[in-house]
Amino acid sequence: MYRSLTLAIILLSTFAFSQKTPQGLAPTGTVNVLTRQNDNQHTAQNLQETILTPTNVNSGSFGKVFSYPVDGQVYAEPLYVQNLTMAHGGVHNVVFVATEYDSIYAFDADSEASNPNPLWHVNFLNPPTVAPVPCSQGSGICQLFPVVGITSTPVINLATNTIYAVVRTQETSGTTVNWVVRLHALDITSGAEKTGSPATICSATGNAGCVLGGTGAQFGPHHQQSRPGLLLVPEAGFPQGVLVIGFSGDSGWVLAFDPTSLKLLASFYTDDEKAHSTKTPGIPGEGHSGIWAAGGAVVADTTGNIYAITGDGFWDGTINWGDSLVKLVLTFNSTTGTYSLVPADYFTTSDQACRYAHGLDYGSAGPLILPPQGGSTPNLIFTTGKQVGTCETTFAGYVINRDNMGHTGGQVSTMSLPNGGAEQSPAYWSTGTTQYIYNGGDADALRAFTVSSAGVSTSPVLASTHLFDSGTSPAVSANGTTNGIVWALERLDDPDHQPGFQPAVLHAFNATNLSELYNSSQAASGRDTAGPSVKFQVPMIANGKVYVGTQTELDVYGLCPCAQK
Amino acid sequence: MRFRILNLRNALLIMTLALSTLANAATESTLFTFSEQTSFWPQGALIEDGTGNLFGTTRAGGTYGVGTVFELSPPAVSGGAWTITYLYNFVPYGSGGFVPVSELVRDQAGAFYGTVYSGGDPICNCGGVYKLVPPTVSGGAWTESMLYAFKGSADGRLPAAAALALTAKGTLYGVTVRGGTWDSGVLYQLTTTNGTSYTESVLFSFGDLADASTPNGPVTVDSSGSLYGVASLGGAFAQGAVYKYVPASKGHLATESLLFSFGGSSTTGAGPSGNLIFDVGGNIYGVTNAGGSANDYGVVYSLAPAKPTWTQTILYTFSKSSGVNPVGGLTWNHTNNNLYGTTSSLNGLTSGDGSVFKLVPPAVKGGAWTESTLFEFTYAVSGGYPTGAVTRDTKTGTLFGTAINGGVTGCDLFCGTVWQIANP
Repeated sequence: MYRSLTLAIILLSTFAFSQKTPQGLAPTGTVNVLTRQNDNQHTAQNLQETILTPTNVNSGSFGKVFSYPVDGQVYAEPLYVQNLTMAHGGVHNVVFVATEYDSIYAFDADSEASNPNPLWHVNFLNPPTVAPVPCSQGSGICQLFPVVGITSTPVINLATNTIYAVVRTQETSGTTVNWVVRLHALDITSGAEKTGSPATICSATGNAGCVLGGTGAQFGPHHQQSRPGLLLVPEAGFPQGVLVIGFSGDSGWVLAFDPTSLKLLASFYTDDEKAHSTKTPGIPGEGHSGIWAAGGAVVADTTGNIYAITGDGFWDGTINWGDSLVKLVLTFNSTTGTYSLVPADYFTTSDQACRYAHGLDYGSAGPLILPPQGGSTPNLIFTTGKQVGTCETTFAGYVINRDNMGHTGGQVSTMSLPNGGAEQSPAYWSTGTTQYIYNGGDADALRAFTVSSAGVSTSPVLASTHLFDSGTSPAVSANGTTNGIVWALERLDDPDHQPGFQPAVLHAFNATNLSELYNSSQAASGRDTAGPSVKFQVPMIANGKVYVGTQTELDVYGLCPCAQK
Repeated sequence: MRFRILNLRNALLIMTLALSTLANAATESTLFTFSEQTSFWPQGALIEDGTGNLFGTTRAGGTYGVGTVFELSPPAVSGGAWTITYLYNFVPYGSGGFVPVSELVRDQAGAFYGTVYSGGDPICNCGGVYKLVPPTVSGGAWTESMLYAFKGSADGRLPAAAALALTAKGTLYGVTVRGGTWDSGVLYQLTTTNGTSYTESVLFSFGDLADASTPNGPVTVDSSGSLYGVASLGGAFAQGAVYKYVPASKGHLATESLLFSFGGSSTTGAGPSGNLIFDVGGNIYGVTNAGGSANDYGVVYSLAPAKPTWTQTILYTFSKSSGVNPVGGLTWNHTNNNLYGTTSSLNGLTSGDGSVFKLVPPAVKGGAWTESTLFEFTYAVSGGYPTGAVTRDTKTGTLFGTAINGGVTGCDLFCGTVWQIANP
């Protein structure tokens, strides 16, 4: 007998839109950023920004204020906790940074001058026996370069002062090399491992794998990468929620853990590897339905339903889920006493076979769960995928009804996007009278669609004049329904060949008309130049500052005086 | 229609002329194609020793996945395969640094010098300068050491993807793209008395008001010890500049000056890149990655010494038919003054996989230079997006170079090639 937990009483409303913060300690600011894109729905909006406004964000009064060097590429979005009492004393607003060199840093978020050293820093390597994983190990993943350690954005549980991160290492014992994926739970005040941490998700040599969650399928740590940001999802029976982690590689995977015990509760995979076990991800017609979507592939609604979007791959609608958005429900079997992640509903693009044949992932861009709307289909998800033209000829965006996802071709509506998107996630903001979705597709402007009880506009209503060659994942800061600013990072290097070293460019746009307010190339003599850009990065805004992860540093922007000149 | 019947004599003459033309035509050959299993992303220019061996670096791959120094040796028998030997595999931990980005330079003792972009100082992780010393016994291992690891503050950080300059005394000159007083890059030197320990000195911090910023090309040293190079940003019009640094001498402080700032008009080019070369008259030749026309495809320029500023002449403005966006700079045939270079459409804004071009000087002073495209890369066959200057064998005239990507269908890591062009 199965008992669905998702409609149970919601005990964990703090995991819903924009987690609120305990009051009282902060001199300024009232916001925490505890998960990728601010909340489980990936709205990427901070509605408690009272310092930055469209008036003061310009190159005359806003710019780079300081930076912290780090030991590796920062693909994960930085996270933020205000007024944190550190284990060794002192109260700080703290920004947390994870690197591909398998480090996590806690930095003072307000002043590098007063706090030049990390508040704490942990590194999970011990070379040469525990070494970083070269990007060339695994399949087609050197677009993350040169080593691949912590890619996914960690998640923080403020109730227990815990940050969770997935760490990947290459470990040598004698002549045996093991590829290891671990889940770490650290105290955010000290960096110390929590009881039971780390938990080894899988350790195996060569192309061997681990059978996870009773599925029978092999999870291969040589190839599996955790790219999507981690989620803490409310579930009845789990006071701290359930920790949800997505992976791509040989197959897409979603794993659900008890965040207290770090015990694996359930798993779900998107490709049984039987239809095409010798094929290679990244090659047209050989995809494995990876779950990545520019780091934003897994989202959850406020009732605990999990939605995972997949890349191109084989599809049969039962155990193979290429180019689909799958709704997963954590379900308890009272007979066996075990949990499973059950695909309760799905949407698959009508051009799925074409996408599979041409390597054009539907799940290349992160989904966005919209706030409830009126009308006949109030609960919507906004999604986009790769490239208009080869398969779909006129559109690349889909709006899905969360309550009835429509299966193959059953979208509520579609949107026109000139080039679709390969590496971005959208953002959401409402002025109180107009709701916007901001989307930055490949070689396209930042564009805004509107949302209402009638659905999502089929065409964009606003567009920036600036084009983003590699797309962008915007984030919004606003004071509720006013002073909306859309922040977006630009990557100048060619995303489809070798990584380069050109700086990331931070842009700010007025959220009501997408006119540009600022970019980090404007100030003279490179005053605001950021570190070299990375993929998947989302600007994080908190308490008057914007935090940008790069290949070499965390750059912090705010109201001047600025760092140079 | 009237047909003309060729007699045997005419036919033979035409055939002879055709064969002669073919014998003299520029012919590209792919000498080596990199792979996911070995190493990949060969970059920049190669250097050649006296016996035809080529040396270079790959940005990635190798034993540890984070780059190599390689030697490519010609076949013993004409038409055979070239042989690659990895002299060093960079290690993603320890003190040696990883992700090599510069071209190599070699000293008289056979040691190589270059820069890495990652590793080095454990806090800064912002690269350094390495030396690779040949084994003392045949077949032994080469020894890599970090001569200087940047700390990321006033001393600079993140070395440019450009070859170091090496003097007879063993002093190395280079630039970083960041760090220094304005975090806009520095010009530095490494001095040594024993070839083992080196001292870094920052000669100049770029990026003060209206100064050049983000130096990105190799440093050239003239006979008086002055240093020259390009910076991709800054200058009077914020689109890059050519700079000159004159070291301090008795009674004179060191000075830095901008010989030319790009971007003063749409035709000057923008974003200078690669090396500078000098002719006997003291004129400078170089390329810009962008600008030159509304298409932003870049130019080849020369600068003639004049006061108060140098005078620019545009030798060629790139177009899609010639390839676009040169990165690697120029190579000179001193015999006939031809210039050679590569184009690379790295930013994905245009079509095409890059090219090798030749510029022939005008027959009459003041006339136009003539561009010809020696080879157009086809990504999946010959590679694509070359990032370096060509290396010219002075005996045969053959050109060698790298293409950082491509070369084989299905290489999921966009592998890259080493190529040659005979009879350029």
